[in-house]
Amino acid sequence: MKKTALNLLSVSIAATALFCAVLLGSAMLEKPEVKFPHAYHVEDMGMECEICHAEVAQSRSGLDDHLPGKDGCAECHDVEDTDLCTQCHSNPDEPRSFARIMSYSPKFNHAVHVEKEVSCAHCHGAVAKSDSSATEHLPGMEACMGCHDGMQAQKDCILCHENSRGKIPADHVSSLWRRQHGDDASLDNGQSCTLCHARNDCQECHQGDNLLPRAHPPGFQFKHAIEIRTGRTECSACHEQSSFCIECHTERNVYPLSHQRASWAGTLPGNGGRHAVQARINIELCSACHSDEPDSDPVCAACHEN
Amino acid sequence: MHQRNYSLLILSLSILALCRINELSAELIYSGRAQSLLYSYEDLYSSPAAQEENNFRFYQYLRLNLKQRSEKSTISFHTYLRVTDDLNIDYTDDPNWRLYNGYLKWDKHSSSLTVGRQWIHLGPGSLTLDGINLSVGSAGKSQLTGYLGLESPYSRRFNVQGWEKARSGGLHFTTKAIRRLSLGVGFYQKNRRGEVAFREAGLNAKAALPGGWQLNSRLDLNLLEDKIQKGMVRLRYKGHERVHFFGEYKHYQPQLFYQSYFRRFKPKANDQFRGGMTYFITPGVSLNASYAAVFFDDENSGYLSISAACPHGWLTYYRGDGFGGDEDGFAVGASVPVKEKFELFANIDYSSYSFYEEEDRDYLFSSIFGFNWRPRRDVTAGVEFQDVNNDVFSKDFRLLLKFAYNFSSAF
Repeated sequence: MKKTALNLLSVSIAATALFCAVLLGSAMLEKPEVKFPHAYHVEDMGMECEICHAEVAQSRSGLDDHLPGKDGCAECHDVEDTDLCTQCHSNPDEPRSFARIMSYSPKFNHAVHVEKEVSCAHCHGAVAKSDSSATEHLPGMEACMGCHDGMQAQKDCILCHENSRGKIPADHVSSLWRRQHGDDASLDNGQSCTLCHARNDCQECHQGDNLLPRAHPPGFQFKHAIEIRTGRTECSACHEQSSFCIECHTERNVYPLSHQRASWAGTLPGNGGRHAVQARINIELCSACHSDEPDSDPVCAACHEN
Repeated sequence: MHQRNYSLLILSLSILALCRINELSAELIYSGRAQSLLYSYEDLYSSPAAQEENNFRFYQYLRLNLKQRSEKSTISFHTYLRVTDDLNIDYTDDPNWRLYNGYLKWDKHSSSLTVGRQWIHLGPGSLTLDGINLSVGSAGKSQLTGYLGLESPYSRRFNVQGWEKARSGGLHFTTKAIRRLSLGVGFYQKNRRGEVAFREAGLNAKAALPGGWQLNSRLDLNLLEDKIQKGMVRLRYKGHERVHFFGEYKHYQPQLFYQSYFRRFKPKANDQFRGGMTYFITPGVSLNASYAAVFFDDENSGYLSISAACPHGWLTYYRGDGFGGDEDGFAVGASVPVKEKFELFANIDYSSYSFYEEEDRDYLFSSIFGFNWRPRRDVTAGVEFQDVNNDVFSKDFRLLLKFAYNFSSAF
């Protein structure tokens, strides 16, 4: 009863926190300096991208500034009429131009994409329908990976990032990532991981009989009992089925050291010895070798049925 | 034995021949990786019929992705498999192989249909499935996925379990309709021998909160027993450039088949608490400390880990105590690039442990030294020397040779 109450309390706290997050998150939308409705210019007026973004086709660096300034807008608009400032500027008392984008990779090469006949709309399609000029419309890595999948175009990190090692997300570097990443992946079947990883990457670890990558240090077979007895690691995350354990513990007659001790199975009624203590703590451990399949009759029945 | 080796050789050559697949069709784009490994080690428990104790095991891995070249490409094939054989000892299940996945996938806008052997990790359902997976989405905001098939067995042969024995299926719905919030709700069922063995429903959520906070939560309910199978709440803070920390609570009920014999012993759940902090001295240099505690009815255990990491190495001290056993140990790892195409690396792990309080401690010392060579972007070769020392082995020296070739049609 006490544990049920604790569980319900935990769920309630989580739900409340999520609700607060939604309320706070919705209040934090950024407002751009310049109010520029792409949709009107592109879809209603039929303007081509090159009219405002003239030098993109020759650009070979992601740091080149392709955002039009006041002179560009002056081709069509009367930029000297102060009564019209509010038409475009959020703060007409301190009118500013588009904020220059400095966070894109310097290695990004527009010219190569134009030469490969990749249309503007292929990467920037959403902006044509937008009423905003906010940088959230810039294609992110996910959009790039649509073509840079290793088959149509190269996928190496070094292609865009100056230091591929440094572009490993910061949370991946932590030793805790190994145990925590599964919770994120289970939300969307790992789709958020597919920016960098293929589904096969998951199975290199999550099919626990792979030689590489190495999830455990050499010799782990000698002390893995400590890890699994405590239950702090879910072995089933990688070793999906008990048949993995059975391969050593049954097929090759490798009895756990604990089973070989005289105190393992008590001989007096009411005294189950050490195995009773172990089973009461974590009986799931027993099922790794002693089958818990439906209709199977594990060795326990020899004593516990009588 | 000679016949088996020739078969393995032919198979390996066939796999390598696939690397020249661009001669087959101009309409096909592809990528993949072929990795060959040779591992020598001493096995404690060799086959009784073996004349030797030293294993000399060969592994061949293949990852292959094929896709139709098209602006609206919709069909692709993916597989990941392995074949292995011991060249020195005659094991009855050698050569053996594993098909980790092999599936056809149809993609259309935000929807997909996948048929074949595939790995599913979605809400309460996590398994390798031989079956179909249909996912229907809407512009990245929401996704509804359903899957049905047979749970793939852990087997050294290409085996498929029967419909009566291992049919499994599930549904999962994910939505990101609310900014900074991902929500998922799912259902999963597994049958064994015609009866329902597992039936779970799950809720999970991830929220990106202001200030660099992130909240993950998960709740899996066992619908056959009306119990919480797994409940987890984790709060992470990454809002400061120098300090990250997290706290986590988890409730875990032993996962047993509904018809399991062990249920008569009324298995008990456990509660786990974890917390940790990372301090970044510089963006690439950090100190990390974490502690995990597991509580059963009358017993508990704890695990402490303290580590330091830099771009080319890390050092960890760990200590565990409680009902699972005691252990103290440290591990050190380093990886140093040399002359652009070489990388030297080393790992050392030492621990002193005992399974029960009253027993003397054993020790385990393992070390790895090696190098990787990458003469071209698509080729990697390497050698590892491994050494394992402990009271059982005394000493086991191992050698691992590895070669990998990445191939793709990408320009």
